[in-house]
Amino acid sequence: MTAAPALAAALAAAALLLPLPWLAIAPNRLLPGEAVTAVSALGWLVLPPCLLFGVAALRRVPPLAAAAAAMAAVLLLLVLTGLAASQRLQDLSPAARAGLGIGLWLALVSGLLLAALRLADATLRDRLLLAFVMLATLAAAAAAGAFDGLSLAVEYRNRAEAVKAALLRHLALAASALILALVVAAPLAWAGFRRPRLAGPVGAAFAGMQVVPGLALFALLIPLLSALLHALPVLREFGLAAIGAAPAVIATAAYLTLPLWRGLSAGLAAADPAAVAAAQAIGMGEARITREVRLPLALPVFAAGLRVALVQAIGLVTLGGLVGAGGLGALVFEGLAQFATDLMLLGAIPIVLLALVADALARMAETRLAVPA
Amino acid sequence: MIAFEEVTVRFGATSALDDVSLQVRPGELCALVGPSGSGKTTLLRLVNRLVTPHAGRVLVRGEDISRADGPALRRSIGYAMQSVGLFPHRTVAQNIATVPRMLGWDGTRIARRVAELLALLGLDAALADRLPRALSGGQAQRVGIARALAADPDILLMDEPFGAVDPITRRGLRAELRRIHAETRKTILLVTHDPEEALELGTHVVVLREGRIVADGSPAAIIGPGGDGFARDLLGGGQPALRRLSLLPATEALQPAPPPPGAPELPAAASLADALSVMAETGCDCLAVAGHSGSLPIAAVLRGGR
Repeated sequence: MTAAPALAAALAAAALLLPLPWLAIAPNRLLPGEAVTAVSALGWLVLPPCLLFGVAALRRVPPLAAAAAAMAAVLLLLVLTGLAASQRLQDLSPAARAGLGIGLWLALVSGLLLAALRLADATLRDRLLLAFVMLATLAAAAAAGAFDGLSLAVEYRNRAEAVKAALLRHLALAASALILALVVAAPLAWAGFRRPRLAGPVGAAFAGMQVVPGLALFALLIPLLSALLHALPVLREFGLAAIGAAPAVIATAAYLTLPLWRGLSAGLAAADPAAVAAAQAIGMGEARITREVRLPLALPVFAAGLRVALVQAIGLVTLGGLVGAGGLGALVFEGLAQFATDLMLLGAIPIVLLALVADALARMAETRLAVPA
Repeated sequence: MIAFEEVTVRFGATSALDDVSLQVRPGELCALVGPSGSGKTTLLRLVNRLVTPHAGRVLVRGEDISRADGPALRRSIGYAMQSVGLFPHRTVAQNIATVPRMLGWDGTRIARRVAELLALLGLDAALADRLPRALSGGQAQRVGIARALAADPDILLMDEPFGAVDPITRRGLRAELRRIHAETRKTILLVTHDPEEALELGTHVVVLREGRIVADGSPAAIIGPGGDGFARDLLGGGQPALRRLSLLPATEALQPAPPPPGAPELPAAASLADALSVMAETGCDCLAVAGHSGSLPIAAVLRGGR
């Protein structure tokens, strides 16, 4: 395991020093570019990041400092690359762009992996703090125009409004799916808790949903919904449509019911039967027992189910891009259709970041809610 | 204080209690003892209506509880049980304060009461802010009893409250309960399957078998000759006569004649079994008792105050 950071650092350094394509300078968005290696793009400036990666892999360096060094190296690489790209584009036409090459991606991924490896035992707070500092620096560098030459930044600048709208749309879709799934799962979890005989069939039904491939379910919902709307036109007045948000939210919610229902059921069963018996024996009514004993003891377990569902929702809603629901998925699929890598990444990177942030926040809530040891 | 009148309880086809009548007077510590399945816990749970009778009446403080509000009745009666059931997400102080809080006591009164109870149960005041998982088994049992006593109920129901602790802690807790009973004079109903515990703690012992009361009276009377055979077997430990002597104070058999010179002296609080033990040890058949002028001849000891 201790070899892993060294390996990651070596990989990052190799990506910098070997003749891999670092930048691709293309005359426009569609033509393939001319590859430039890191050494020729950055010159002797490849050395400081290499050094930082090396320091981050040293066992003697405290983990937090090591992770900070790795992150600093990643940031430094991004900024240097951005500046180098701007310089190379200076004399070319405005349509020219600098795409990111495999070497750069490899260096970024191994650098971040190195940071993550060194942070493995850090507290959640330290991790979030470091991630926040990194993102803030990145945002500041972006605002200062450090990345203006990179094609991803160009793509973003051209589509900033669309990306922001897609991000909000994505969040709204994921939240709607989560709420819809909760509305279905919560009463069924309560019913299964009150009548354990119901729990088996309900669980089997929700688990059965998971077997249906995601893409198939999203597509299947379109004819199903249109048949339903044909039979009950009144539903149209409530804004239900066969394509767009409705099938995306319903299909995503269908997958979220299982983790939510599991979390809710396990949470309700989490209260020590002796505590519940004692609560009753000293004069708590049913409602008060649920409010003061069952729910507080269930919350951390609920939160765990909610976290899984939230991360799944952010990922699954991406497929909504295929059924006209919009969101970041629409950018990804548009990019795929046009073979435009930058556009694809513009959709995909925020999805990954959203999922990571949601997971971290939900984990924090979970530890808050748990009965301290 | 508590009266059962011809109470029958059935769970499905099996009857847990069959036509049971019993009176518990105020201030008694009534030990309900019997093998498992004899209905002792059911009898206890009738008192705060955790169980409702199929026939007969249960009177608490002179009132038929069949029409009382269950939760309100339970708040007026303390309840402690073997599995304790402390709320794991609440501190010791919050656990103890549960019933006073439900009754709407103000904060300062609750805080004062919690401190009082921690002292009464011999718990360190520093434990107040701990969570139950930080407590030892014995401490948790004490907190459970403190919670049962929190709103100062005149009746306390205890379902094998010392069942889950080690024998040494249990002995300590028993002594504590005897002291609390003596200090507070509450009416206590105690379910136990430990005959020794029933005899040591009970001022009134009720022996149950298969849903019926087979013996009901003072500990010494129950294992005395003429008592029910099952009760004597259960409580007597094979030597009901010796057990009985251990329950009777030596002073009860005191004779007016002065003791012979040089007779060994018993402490005033000794039992008749202690007297017998001293006689067997010293070979003297007549003893003196500290602070008393009379004598204790062996014949009187063996008659056991009868």
